[in-house]
Amino acid sequence: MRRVVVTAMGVVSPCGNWPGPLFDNLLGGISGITRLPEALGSRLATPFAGQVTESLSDHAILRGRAALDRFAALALMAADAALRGGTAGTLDPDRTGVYFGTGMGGACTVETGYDDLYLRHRDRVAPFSVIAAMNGAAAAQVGLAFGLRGGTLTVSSACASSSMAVGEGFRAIRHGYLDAVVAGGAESLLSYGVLKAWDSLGVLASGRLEPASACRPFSADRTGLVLSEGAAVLVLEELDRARARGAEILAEITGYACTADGQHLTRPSASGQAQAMRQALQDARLKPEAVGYLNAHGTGTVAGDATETQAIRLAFGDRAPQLPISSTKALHGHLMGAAGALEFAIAILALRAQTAPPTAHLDQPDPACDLDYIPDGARALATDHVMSNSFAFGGSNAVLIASHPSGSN
Amino acid sequence: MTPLERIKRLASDKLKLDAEQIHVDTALDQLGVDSLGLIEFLFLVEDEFGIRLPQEHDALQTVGDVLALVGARIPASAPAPE
Repeated sequence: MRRVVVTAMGVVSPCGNWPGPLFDNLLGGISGITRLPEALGSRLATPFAGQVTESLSDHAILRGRAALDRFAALALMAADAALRGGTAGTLDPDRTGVYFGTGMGGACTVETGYDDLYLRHRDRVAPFSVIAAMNGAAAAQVGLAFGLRGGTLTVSSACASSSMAVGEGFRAIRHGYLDAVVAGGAESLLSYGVLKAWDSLGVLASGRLEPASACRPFSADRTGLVLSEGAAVLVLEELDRARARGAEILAEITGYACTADGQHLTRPSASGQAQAMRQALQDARLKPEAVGYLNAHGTGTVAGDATETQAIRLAFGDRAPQLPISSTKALHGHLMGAAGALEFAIAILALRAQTAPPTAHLDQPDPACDLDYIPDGARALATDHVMSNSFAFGGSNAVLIASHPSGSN
Repeated sequence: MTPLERIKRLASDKLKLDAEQIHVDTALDQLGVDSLGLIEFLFLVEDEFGIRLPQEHDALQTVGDVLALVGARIPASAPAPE
């Protein structure tokens, strides 16, 4: 089987970009969650979110692009950050795919169209609402911008979407269908209708909260998740080709699994999640004790964090209490369909720095979340293997493992 | 704000084009957009000025051509956006 490595990464997130201050912010506990604009926030019970605050106007990659929803614009910015510096020119366009995950794609474009039709009583919507809003728009725009012709694929499995996009890209290279995949996720859902829909579901952080510390994964006083926007891209390549072109190898992807609980649309199953972790370990041919850091799904919901704790215990057994685990969602919030790719990128940064970011705001230990969730600042690691969990509504579970590139350089 | 300035702002805000590069004699096919981008641009112009441009775009070669049509079609009472 062919080996697959990560040769570049690009992130646009509320907590900073990569290349950029993202990882330093995570180590330093600097939150990207802020109050929403008054016009939006005053009508919401949870008036904050993780917002990308930089101007889109400064990005040459976006210049003149038609039919561009914000989620696809963020995808282009992340892809540009990853491919800048000549990587794009070294990929064989016919053997390079673009695999993206997104939860709701261009939902904001759809909402703008409804706003025009029903609220403003206009008789038309923007001419390219369909092609801006389609879930496949991010992958299509990235493929178009960089002339990549190996096929564009979009995964929409809620919060596991971009973990699966990365995982399926990994499999496509491993099994010889492609030599490279620009893989990632993009999401931008900070519109009134979508925020209200999440509010109605009753899973958002609520109560008397400060924005920066509203998301409190694994803490006994957690009340829910905080929505965020952003995009993350990883360039995956077959090892020999990456070596041949002298690429810097950031990590090797060694394991991936996706499972479905087959039980309930919203109530997660510890056994289904554990099965995904076990299968990813088998895929990587690793024993549980080989994994030295886990970036948890850890959304900050009462049920989700407790279930994930049980699942980690099931998958890691006696080793579970010794495994350093953190949820960086405490700082960057929940990027939904982009979360998995972002958090896998963060796990790779942790592997390379041999330093795990903490779980911020874990002030009150919860007996139902009694693992080593790194509550007290960044932690030095000594490991060659890191894991990232993504668990989604619909009972979808996806787990990725990255390994130190020793032996692949 | 003049009609040209309003068009420049649209191009900059909505299509992320460099407004400094847009002049009266700029050819539409030199705006830096593809065929879809041009349709989107003309749609935005229609919305901005509350007018409808002809379906057949062949007569529109430059930004100046668009401005001339805007001038011809804009109702005297149409309020300028804030």
